[in-house]
This record gives sequence, structure tokens and C-alpha cells, in this order.
Amino acid sequence: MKQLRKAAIASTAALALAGVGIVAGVTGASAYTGTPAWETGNTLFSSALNYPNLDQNSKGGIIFYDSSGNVITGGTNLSNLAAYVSTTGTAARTNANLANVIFGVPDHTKANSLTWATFSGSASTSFPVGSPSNLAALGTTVPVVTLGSSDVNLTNLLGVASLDSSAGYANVIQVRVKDGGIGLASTGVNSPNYFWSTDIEYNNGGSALSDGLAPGNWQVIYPAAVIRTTTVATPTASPASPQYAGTSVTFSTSVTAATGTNPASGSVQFYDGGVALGAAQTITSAGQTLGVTTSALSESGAFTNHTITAAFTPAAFSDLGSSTSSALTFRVNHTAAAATVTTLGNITSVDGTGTVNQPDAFSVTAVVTVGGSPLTAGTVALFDNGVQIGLTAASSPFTFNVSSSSLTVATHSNIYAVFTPTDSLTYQSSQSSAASLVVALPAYTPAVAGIETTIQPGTITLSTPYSTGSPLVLPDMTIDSNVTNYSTSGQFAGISVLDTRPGNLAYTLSALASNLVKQGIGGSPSNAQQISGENVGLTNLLLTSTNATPSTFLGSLAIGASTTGQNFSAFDNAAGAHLSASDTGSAGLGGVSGHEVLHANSGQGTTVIHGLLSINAPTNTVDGTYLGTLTFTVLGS
Amino acid sequence: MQIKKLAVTAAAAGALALSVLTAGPASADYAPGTGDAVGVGSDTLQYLVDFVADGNHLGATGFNALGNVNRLINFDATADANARLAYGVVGSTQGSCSPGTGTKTGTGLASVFHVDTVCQLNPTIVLRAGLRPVQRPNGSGAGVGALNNDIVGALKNIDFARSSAKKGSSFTTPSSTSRITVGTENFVMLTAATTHAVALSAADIYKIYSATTGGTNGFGGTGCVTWNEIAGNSGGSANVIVPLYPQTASGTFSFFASATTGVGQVTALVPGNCATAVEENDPEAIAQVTSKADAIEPISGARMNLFLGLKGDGTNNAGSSAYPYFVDPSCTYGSNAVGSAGGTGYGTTNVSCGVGAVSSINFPQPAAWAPAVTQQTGAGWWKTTRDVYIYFRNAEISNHADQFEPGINQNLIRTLFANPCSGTSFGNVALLGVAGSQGCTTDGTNTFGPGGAPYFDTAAASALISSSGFTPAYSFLNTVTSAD
Repeated sequence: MKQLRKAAIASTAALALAGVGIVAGVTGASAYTGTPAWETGNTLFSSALNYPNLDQNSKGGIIFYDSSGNVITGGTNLSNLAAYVSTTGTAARTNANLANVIFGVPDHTKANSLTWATFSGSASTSFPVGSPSNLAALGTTVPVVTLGSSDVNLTNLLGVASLDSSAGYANVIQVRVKDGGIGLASTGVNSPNYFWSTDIEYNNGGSALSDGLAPGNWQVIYPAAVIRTTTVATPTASPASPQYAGTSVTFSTSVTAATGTNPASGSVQFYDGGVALGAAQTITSAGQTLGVTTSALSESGAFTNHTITAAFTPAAFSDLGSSTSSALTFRVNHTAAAATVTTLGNITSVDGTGTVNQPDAFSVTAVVTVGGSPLTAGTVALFDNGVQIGLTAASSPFTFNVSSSSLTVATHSNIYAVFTPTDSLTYQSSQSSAASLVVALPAYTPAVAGIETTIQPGTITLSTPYSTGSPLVLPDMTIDSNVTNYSTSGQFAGISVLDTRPGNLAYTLSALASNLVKQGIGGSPSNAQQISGENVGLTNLLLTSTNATPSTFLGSLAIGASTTGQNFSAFDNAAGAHLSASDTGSAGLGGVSGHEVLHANSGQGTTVIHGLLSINAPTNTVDGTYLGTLTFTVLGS
Repeated sequence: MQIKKLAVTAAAAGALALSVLTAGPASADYAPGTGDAVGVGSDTLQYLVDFVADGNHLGATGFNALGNVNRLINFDATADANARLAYGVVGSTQGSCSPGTGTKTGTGLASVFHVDTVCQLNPTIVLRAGLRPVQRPNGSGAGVGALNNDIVGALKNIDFARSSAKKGSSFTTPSSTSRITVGTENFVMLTAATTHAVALSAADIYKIYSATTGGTNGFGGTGCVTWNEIAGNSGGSANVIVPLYPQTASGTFSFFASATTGVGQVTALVPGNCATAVEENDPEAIAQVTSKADAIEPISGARMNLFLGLKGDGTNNAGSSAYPYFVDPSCTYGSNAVGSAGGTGYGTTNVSCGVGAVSSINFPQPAAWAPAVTQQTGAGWWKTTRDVYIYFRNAEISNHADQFEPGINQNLIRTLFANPCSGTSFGNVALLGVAGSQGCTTDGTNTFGPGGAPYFDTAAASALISSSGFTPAYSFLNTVTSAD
């Protein structure tokens, strides 16, 4: 046999051919980055039919299946790609009921894929197939090829194929289903064979390709495999929320697919607040319920809410997408408080006579245990048929010495003690059983003396040494170096608050300055003959107080700061900056409402406030003596 | 392959439109290109190789449907697609033959008729585009002989020869060839459905076929053997047995002769003049005998399966249906090739040239009709199985000067016939017989060179071989001896 040309000699690996672009087999290499170039219509040959669309000669795509009839989008065995393949797109023709699989070896220099080298992949098999049922249902319109264990053997092809190594073609093989044409013997009709095709990417190298395809694996790349969406049901809990910490809870879910068979492979991982809960659960049958059981859900404080979700991860190369469920909120309550036992001891008369004659005192001790061991953290109250008769005993021993003066002369058969634990999360309250107390008539008839006194409601009195007739005279105003402001200041001594109200109540002291007006003018003063009250300020407050209640004064606070914990709180009010007398604001101590100067949480007694009084004035203020008032008001609570 | 116009073959028509036609003189039939794989030889397995090359009549495709540039071309033993032997103007009777016809060589330039045993036509073929027509090798012996001449002459027009018997001794240098077994079949005696035949042993067959009209036959009688001369059949028919045998150049004859020549015979079977040569594996030869009930003929079980629409395992070749391969050749194209809507094209009616007409020997669907001939497999009958082979040049296994198919790094032999993990692979890499090394792979049973099993050993070919009536059976013999 004579050939007119020689072929290039290649190694048996058949991959490392010289060529432009990425060479297959190089670590991390993948020449596939999107649609294989010939599927976009041979950009090298723009006159090709159907340019720039799908391979002009192909009738559609193909789908791969495993032996159970599940769609696979790839696999891990280059020597037997799949158990079945079927086609999509153009329907099979009546009487064309045999098809086989062949491989096409891409060659980007050839516009017509029919001229590519091909390699046998399988024997012709007839369709429809009898099983699996989903493939049998495809009927006579879809060629389904049943494949043997050595059919569709990419390993054999790669042993001898002279592969195109150019970018966009390397690591790609075209798999075809080819029918036998319309059955000639039965119909006598001649027709060209149809073929359907799908491009797959393979990796017969030793390391992953740049898109992550592992060695020995293959995957469908064009037309892209259709991935079915899945839904993971919101987990259910058994027993349902809420449960005490330490209770065994099982969370369950199942995974469904939007179309086709529900997942029969893959795994589900439960999460608690995003942290894996238990091991991943493997799915082995469609519609299976998956569950994890735990008794270790954390709990702190009175309760903890857990956010439980489940995520589905499909098996490698399945046609299912991953999904995550909505969240289930599961509440874990603190472990049930332990039961305590309160036991009331014998009630004895304090005087030792053995009889409680009204108004004698009696004594009784309550003992609290938990699990048989003494518990002392808590308080115990003594009751007579619902009425508390003894002060709460705040610490162990819980001994009561109670006068019987408030009890009727009778047999009190429902005397009991009630324990309230300090830690109610850990310990329960408990009530002792009832004890009986006989209050007997007084031994001698008592005499009752009445006693009475009154506390007057009291008042708050303000006083200051300054009056309009004898005002606080501050030094003459001086102008600043920028010639923008007149100012003066002096000690204000002071304002005195006398609070005689009982109950150590609170009050607030406020101050409001009027405009200062030039003296000796006739008629209404102009703006230049007035100094706005906003230009008056009172700061650097000091106070003394006779209040004996713990007296705390941490100095001035900013307006609006918390006065909690301070017996007295003073507030600085800085003078406004040489505002015009016509200004309508509320800077400094001016405006129309009083400014808080002092707050007392507990104001009883005499409190005297000193401070620094400052006045500013704009420079257009005319000369003269200016007189104004500073009015203090107090508001008690 | 039958020589046909490009547009008309079984099952793979579409791809032909794109194959490359080599330049050459105008030819009415397809002439192989220089890169094609060309084979000649045995009638017995010609359909086996036809199907593997072009697919079968059931819609399964073969090697050539892959669409590659170079094709597997299989010249049948006969010029007739129904495997009938063609005869010259004098027909099939013995006598004077016109120049160029008959079994005698060198008569083509004569101007007068010559005496010959049978006036076969000696059809010719064009082995490669650009060559002149040469005699079509008819049978294993002729095919192997042609391959041998091709090897000796270093011509490389013929790549392989089909054989239904071991023909290693026919090569000048047997070791220059390798051989693969591609199938196995039953080999039995065929009689008419209504027959005077009784069970015949190998020894009986030897004696019946050796008998001559003037001599003493092996049963002690004179002349041709009659049925009642068979031991235990003295009450049987007194008619003369009509033994039909395949032409002596065929592998079928060699196999038949050696199979029936037992320990008691001094020489290998030589047919006497009581026996008539017919085209091998032709069940219609029975029908052509005047006294059909007396005719016997060794027959290829595979050929019978093809007539009956059965696979090599005896089951129907199309699911629940059996599609016989041959139709009535006297019907014009269009009158019997097409079935009714949804019909099989063969039907169950015995109508000549109507819709559903079948071969004139009438091999209808097995379930409905009693066949006109019977394969005798009962007790006492001689029967055997035989393997069928393909021979090719041993040196070509490791000759990597050329790819067989552009784009595939594999030579012709390794692509089609044998791909052992020995010799060298493309790139002249020595193959050491170990799967996983130098690209060798294994299917669990056999270890192959890069590319895996050769096409004849694939599942695709096995299915096609089975549909040709054989049982697929592949084995490879690297170096042929005279005993192979």
C-alpha cells in the first residue's frame, strides 16, 4: 500500500506535539476556556454553513448516563466514559433505530468536522432500550446507545490520536452518536447518517488542569450540561423546639430536584449557626430523609436560639446543583432548675414556756436542701396562709423570730416557708409543708398605747445676696486684641438652695439671664445699647451641701449627661460669643427658657453654689453701665 | 465489498460522498485508493468482512462509516452479491469453453474454444485505481495465492486474504505472514428438505465423493454410489447420490477434503466424476439438481444463517424478527427491495418479485414455512465446526512509515487486524507485552498496543460478525508456519 505523505511521528502519549498555544499535559494547562472554537463556526472559515453557530454537521448534543440511568456530566474513567448515551436536538428518524458512538478528533485546520479523523467507540445498538426506565421512556425518537465496559474508550483513542494542541482545541475530544441511516433493508430508503455531538474535556495527565479537572477525569463542556436545581427542605426537629440543654434532638431534611428524579446520591451537611453539625450524610436513594442527632447544642443564660440549616452537595459529575435550606430556629432552654426541698422545723416559743401566748414571739428555722445537700444561696420568707409574717431571712440559717402580735388567737394550721433561690436558673423555689401554730390568748390583757407624729411636707427656698438694687458688679469690660469682643468675668457667690422636703427628693435648678440694658437712656434701648442674655455664662461651679446622704459631686457635666450615681450634678453654661442683642437663640444663659445649672438626686439640706460669671459683648455695644437680671428657678420632683 | 457505484451500498452511504476519489482512469465500479486496505479470497467469510467494513443490512454501521479517509475494501470471491458463480456463454455444464473462461489458464488469447471442466466466467477486478483489471481471486486458495504473489512481488496492492482453511503452506515464505482467526461456524451436510439421504459418516462421504462412473466405489458397488449401498440402508432408495462439492480452489473444499479424509484413507479426497463442482456455500445448488432428493452438499452454517436471517448463535438477527440477507435476484430493483409501510421488506409470502419476495430457493421466516433445504445435524451425520481466517503481511505490524488514517497514529494492520503489545508502535517504540507500559492496554483477556483492540476484535465488529452468521472468535498468530 502506498501513501502519498508521511505522518508526523509522535510519542505514544500523543500529546506533546509542537504547536501554537497551550500544550495538553503541561501542569495546570487547559486550553478550554469557553465554547470550543469550532462550535462557534470556525472563525477561520467564515463562509462555513451556520457560521458562527454549532458544528454545522451535528444534529444536536448528547447526554451521558451511568448504569442506573442517572445523568452524568463527567466521570473518572477515561477507559469507559459512560454506560449509556442519548441525544438531544433533532429527533431520530423513523426506522433509523441503530446507533453507535464514535470519537471525532478535532482539527482546527479543517472547516468541515466530517473530515476530521474518527475512531470507533462502540458497537451499533438498537433503540429504544428496555431499561433503565427513564431511557426506555425516550422511545424511538432519541437514539440511546448501550455501552459495554470497554466501549467509548478514550484511553485507547488517546494512545493513537494525533491531537490538535492549539488553544481552544487541546484537551478536547468530540464524542458523537451516529445512527445507521434509515434501515435500508426494511425500507430500502437511502439516507445519510445523522450524528449528534458533544465536546468533552479530558485530563490524561498527572496534575489538574487550570480549570481544576483532576487527572484521569473528563467532563462535558459543550453544549454545557444542564444542571437541575435542587431544594433542601427546611430542617425539622424531633422533638420540636424548645428543649432543655442536653436533650437529644434529631434534625431531618430531604432533597428534591426541580425536574426529573430526586437526588439519589450526594450528601447533606447540617449546620448550627454556620458550623458543621455532625458528619455529612450520604444520600443513597431518591427522596431519602437524612438526619443528624445531637444532644450537645450549646446553651448559655436562660436560653439560646440555634439556627439550623442543611446544605446539599451533589455527587461529582452529577447533573444536580447544590443548594441550602432555609433556617430552622431551635431554642435550647437552660436545664430545668433543680428541685429544692424546704423543710420547716418545729415552731417553738421564744420564752421557752412551750406556749405562744399573744403577743409572744415564736421561733422557727427553715432548712433548704437540693438533692439532699444543704442549699444556702437564697432567701426564705415565712407565711401564714398567704400572708407573710416574718421578714425574709436573707441568709442561712433561715431562722425566724416572729412576734405573734399580728396573729389572731387561733390555730394557724397553714404556716409555711417559701424559699427563693438566688440562681433561679439552677434551683427551683420550694415551699415547705404546712406547720401548725397555736396562738393562745395573751397570758395577761395587754394595754395598747397610741403614738403619733407628723412630718411637714417642707419646701425649697432659693436665696441670693444679689438684688437689682445691689447687684453683682463685674469689672469693666475689656476689648480683645482682635477687636471683636468685649468681655468681663467675676465670682458669683452665689445661689443657695434650702430643701426641707422629707424623703430626700430630687430637684433641678435652672438659670435664665435677661438682656443687660444701658442705664440712663431715654426710651427703648437700641441693639447697641443692650447686651444679649446669651452673652452671659456661669461656669466653674463649686458647691457645698449639708446633705448627709452619701454626697457625690463629680463636678460639672455636659448638658444631657447622666446624673445617675451623683448626688449633685452641676452644668456649665458658657457665655455666648458676643451675640447681637437681636439674636433669638438660646446660647449661654439667654433665650426664653431656663438653663440647667444644678441637678440634685437627693437634695435635702442646704446647698450653696458658687461659680464664675462671664459676660461677652459685641464691639458695637456703646459705652455705659449695663444692668440685667439672672433669675434662678427650681423644679422639684 | 461488492464493486458498486458509490451511491449504493449497505448502510453507510452518507459518508461516501465525502471520501477522496483518487485520480485514475474511468471505472464503472469503485476502485480502491492507494491508502485503502484491500482484501481478496474466500467466499465463505466474504460477508463477514463485508459487514465489518460497511455494516450490515440491519442498520449497524461498520468501519467505513467512521468516515475516515481510507477505507476497508473487501473484494468478494464472486462478482455476484448473492455469491453466485458466474459462467461463460456455455454456462455451467462441462464442455468447451470460450477463450478466457473456464479453469485453464492462458486461454484468453485463443481464437477457439477449449475443453475445460466448467466454463466459469473468470470475472476481473481493479485492485487499485490506476491498475488494469485482473482476475478476481475466487476462494481461499486463489486469495492466498494472490496475496503471496503480491508479497513476493512487493506490490502491496493486496493487504489481506480471507481463508476458510489453514493455508500457511500456500505461501512461499509462510513466516512472512501473520494470521488472525475472526470467527467460527458449523460445517455440515446440506440436503433437500425432502430427501432420500440417511446419516452419512465421514468415511461414507469420502467414498461417495471419490466414486467414478467406471470404477468400483468404496461400498463394493460399481460406478456412482446409490442410497441403498449405504450400510444399514439396504431398504433405501436405489437412486444415485448426487454429491456436490465446492470448487477445489476454495478453502471450503480443502477443509471438507481434509475433514472427511480419515485414518483409513491413503490419499486426501479427490472428487470423482460422480461428484459435481458448484460454487461453494451455495444452497441453491441443491435446487438446481434435477433429482433434488438425492443431492448432498457441504455447507457453511454461517451462509445458511445469512439466508435465514439468523445470527451466529442461531437466534433471529433483528430482535424478534429474522431478516434474510438475499432476495430473488431475478426481480428488478424496486420490485422487491422495499417493504410495505412498516414491513420487513421480506414478508412471508412466496411471491416472486412482489413486495416481500425472497430468494427463489424460498427461505421464508422460519416460523411460518418449512425450509426447502435441511442442514443435517442429526445423529450419525458427519458435522464439524471450522474457524475462518485472515492472512496479512507480518512485517506490516511494525511498519510505521504511514498512518492508515490521517490524524490517527496507527498503521493499517494495527488499526484493523492485529495490535499486539509486541513489535513496535507508531514512533518505533518497542512494545514489551506489559499493559500500562509504552501505551499498551488490556481488556482483561488480551494485551494490546496503543489504541486498544484492532477493529476486528472490537465489540462493534463482533456484533457485525455475528449478524453475518458466524460466531465471533478472535485470536492472533504472529508468525505463520506451513502447518498454519
